[in-house]
Amino acid sequence: MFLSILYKEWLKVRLYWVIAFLLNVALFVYLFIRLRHLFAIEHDEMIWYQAFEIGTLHYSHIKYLLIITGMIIGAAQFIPEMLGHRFRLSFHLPVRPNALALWAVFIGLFAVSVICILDAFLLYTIIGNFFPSEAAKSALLTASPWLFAGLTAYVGTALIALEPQLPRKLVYIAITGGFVWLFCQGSDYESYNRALCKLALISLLFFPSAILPAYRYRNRSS
Amino acid sequence: MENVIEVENLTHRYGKRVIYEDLNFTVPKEGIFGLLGKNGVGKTTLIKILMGFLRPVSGRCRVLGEDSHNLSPAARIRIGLLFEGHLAYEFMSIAQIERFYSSYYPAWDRDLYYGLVDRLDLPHHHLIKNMSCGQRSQVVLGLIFAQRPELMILDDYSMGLDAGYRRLFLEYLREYIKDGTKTVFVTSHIVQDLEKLVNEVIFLDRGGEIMQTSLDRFMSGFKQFSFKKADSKEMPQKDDIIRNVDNTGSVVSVYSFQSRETVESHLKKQGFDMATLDQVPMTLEDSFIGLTGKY
Repeated sequence: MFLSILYKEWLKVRLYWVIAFLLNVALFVYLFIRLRHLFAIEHDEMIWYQAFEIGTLHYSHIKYLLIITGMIIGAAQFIPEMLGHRFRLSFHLPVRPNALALWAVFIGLFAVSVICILDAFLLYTIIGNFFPSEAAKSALLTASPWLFAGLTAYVGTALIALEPQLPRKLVYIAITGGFVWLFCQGSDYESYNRALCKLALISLLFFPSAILPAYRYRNRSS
Repeated sequence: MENVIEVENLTHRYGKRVIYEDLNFTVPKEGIFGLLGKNGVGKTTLIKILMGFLRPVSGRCRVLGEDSHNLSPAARIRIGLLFEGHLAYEFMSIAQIERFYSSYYPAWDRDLYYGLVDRLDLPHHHLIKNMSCGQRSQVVLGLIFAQRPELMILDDYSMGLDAGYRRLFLEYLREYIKDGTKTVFVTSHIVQDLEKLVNEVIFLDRGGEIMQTSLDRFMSGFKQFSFKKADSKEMPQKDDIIRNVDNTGSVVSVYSFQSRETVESHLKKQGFDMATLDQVPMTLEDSFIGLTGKY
């Protein structure tokens, strides 16, 4: 059952996943070129001063990258299901509806997570290439809320796409937007260190909530 | 006899519009059952309720012995469902969709699928979204046959099919029910197809009025009589004997479940000249229109 659901979800998202993957890689290539250029034209002391005294984030352009990635994967996965009420096709499969919805969201979350891990690896490697390892670890902690924002954006997009009623869609847009906004507030190094775990735990609640619109879809009366 | 579908006291409304009020019927195992009704009487709504995609206001539906809103995966394996408009995963190709569905159904017959689909003369990597409505229907019907379900529910299977493929489909359907263990519950806009196909018909009218009968009994019991009307503008009225009235020019057609003698004397009492009264042979489509009206 899982492999079959995986096959269907992969067929839907593969093109968009590859586009999102390339977009992420491209922006990290840009980060690498930008830092290399910076080190070529500036004194090391000046770059150190900018980064650690003034607090300039040289990688702030990736802040919204995973949010966009999450939204792309979520839309690619669930909009085709909702066009012409094709979600009914999935619910006629001999699979428990809740399991079906959760597996589909899990697969999408995994697809976004792979890109998150790639981004974390590239960020650590690129920053570590130009700065001491402490700076690379700090970059990971600084960017962690953005990774969670991407995962939240994905599940939120899934919820919004699956929800059959417009008023509730608007509520989900507000909740998702609020959470994503919360993860993107800090503009300093490691500004979420004390709150990240709690925020991440709360955002995890988004995952099982995918059952709700699926249940409401099957139980609507019009 | 065991029933594969049971509908009890079903009531459904869209807002204030009543679709059914206290609807009751059963579909016994084995045979082909046609659900007939004009546009908007709620045929598709009924199928959505039967398959658990819509919760009715009240009442109970059971399919293969299970509550229709809570069908188990084991029950769904036994049901082949054609959604109105031949709904399919359009992002899949001919081969991908076969591979996807085959993993869910233990009795999957790959040859049956390709036997139908290869008549399209399309490569197996052809995407469903790039097909015409008729081509898509062939793929979807091929998937349902390949599933080898015990109960087939087909919501307007004829939509988009050309005459040749419609006939081919009917041949496949006859072959499919030949072993005497299968049940088909079907709606179609092409009523004449059902004449050669169904054993029993369920006529659904606005508000959920229903008439369930065997096709033979209906075809022999429901009659059309026509006569030439004098100049008067008066027309026979619908009542217990006259089920429906239609007129074209000076010819009046009345439809009734009563005998010629009963209708004749009934109309004579109303002052109509019965000298030209004649019984008109009808096809199922004529009878359907006679029963439900043209509009």
